[in-house]
Amino acid sequence: MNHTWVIHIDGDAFFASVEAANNPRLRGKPIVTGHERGIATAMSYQAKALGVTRGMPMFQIRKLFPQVIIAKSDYDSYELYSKRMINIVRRHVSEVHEYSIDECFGIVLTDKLEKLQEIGKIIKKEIRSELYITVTIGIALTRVLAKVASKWHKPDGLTIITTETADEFLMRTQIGAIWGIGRQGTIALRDDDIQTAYDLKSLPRELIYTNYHKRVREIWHELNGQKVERDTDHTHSKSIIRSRSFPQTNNKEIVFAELSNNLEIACKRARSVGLKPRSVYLFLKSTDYRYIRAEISLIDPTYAPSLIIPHLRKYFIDIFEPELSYKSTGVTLASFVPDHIGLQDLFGQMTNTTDHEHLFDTIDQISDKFGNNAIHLASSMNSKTRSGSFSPKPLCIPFLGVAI
Amino acid sequence: MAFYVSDNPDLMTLDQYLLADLRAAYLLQMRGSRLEHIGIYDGDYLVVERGALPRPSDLVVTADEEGFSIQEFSEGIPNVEAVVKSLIRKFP
Repeated sequence: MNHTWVIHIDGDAFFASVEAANNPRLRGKPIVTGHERGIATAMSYQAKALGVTRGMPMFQIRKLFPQVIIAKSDYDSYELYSKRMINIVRRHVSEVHEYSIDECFGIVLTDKLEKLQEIGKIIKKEIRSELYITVTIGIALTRVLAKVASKWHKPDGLTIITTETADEFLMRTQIGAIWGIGRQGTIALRDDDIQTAYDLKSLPRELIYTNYHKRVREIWHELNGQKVERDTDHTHSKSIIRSRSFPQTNNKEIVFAELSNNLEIACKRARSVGLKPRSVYLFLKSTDYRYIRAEISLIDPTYAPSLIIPHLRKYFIDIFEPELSYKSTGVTLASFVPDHIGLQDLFGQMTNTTDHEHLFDTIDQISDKFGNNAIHLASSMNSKTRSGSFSPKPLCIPFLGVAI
Repeated sequence: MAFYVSDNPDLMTLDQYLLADLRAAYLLQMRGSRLEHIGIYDGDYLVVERGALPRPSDLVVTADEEGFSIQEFSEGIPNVEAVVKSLIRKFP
């Protein structure tokens, strides 16, 4: 019988590796990226070996490790290499899901370990020859185990964890190294004398369900080889996603206008299919590819953006980091309720909700007649006025510099 | 560094044209007069493909600690990294 294997592909020291791929003079040398930010955003393995760590200030690196080459981040190249890396993975693996700029997950159906080996090797070979970077691959029955596998042997590794070998790996994996446990989780579990992934995995189900919150329960299942569909997988299930990039800015109001515009458009799509979301996910993407996310749970599902905006604003203010510069925002609507299903009016809010929804029915009719920008939320104004203007996108050919 | 193009969907972009049959295309710019005898001038852009198998008459890109350089392919030349696929010249 075929098993559904999860494959995790993780770029090795990705930003620094792309710098070296683009410039042979940097290969094999200690490289640090992030010159423009004044702190190390990524390090080559040679720089790591010297003792450079992520976030270390550049002045300190210059002083302690004068041999280190400090490069300005080239996010255009990182993005191009990332897209190509994922496209190579897609040639061999189904349901590829980009998790971040330097890692992705996919699914392989097989009952043969040799087949997994073969797929892992071919992906590594093609990435190596077409991108001149290396990746580490982990394969296992769940995402959490695949992440344990891809951490096992870095860089340029390929590790497969099977049901039979899982315990061996988990005994040698510290609790804090498990994907998703986080610092707080690690402290809590250590207090309960759970030191390794194996300790956690071996806890009886009753104990996990009575003593721990949902996240730990999910990880427990995944360590035991049982797949859990996470909330963060909402992109796979029924959802409406709207995101857009914009010229980089750190202006709070411009970023919020973009978010508001995304919400407005996503809600219009939800109205057109008659589905009211219960959950709204928002993200801000910074120019250095950090994703900042938040999740809003609506007590009354609604597709009237005017009712969601106050929540959006509140969460946005919470997560917006003024020292970052942003290039994109997005909104995902999920956990839908069909709009013909009546819900109980527990809080006496329904009249208000219905009023707003009628209003947006009317707005939809107006937009159908006069165009999408005829009428919109004031909070989206800044974004609407930018629509249609020239927004350049990079050519998808990385530039390798000069040849002699 | 990146080259920018319009996102107007009605236009065919340069990359769509140049990359049509290439799996792993990159751009390089020629510096110097070393290859003028075969028609590659200072400032010309070269579209190269990484991981492609070179044939005897191909021009290839090799890499070492000096950087990239363009060579005529012959069996056994070291550090071949890409094969030259086309040339873009900016006329004055």
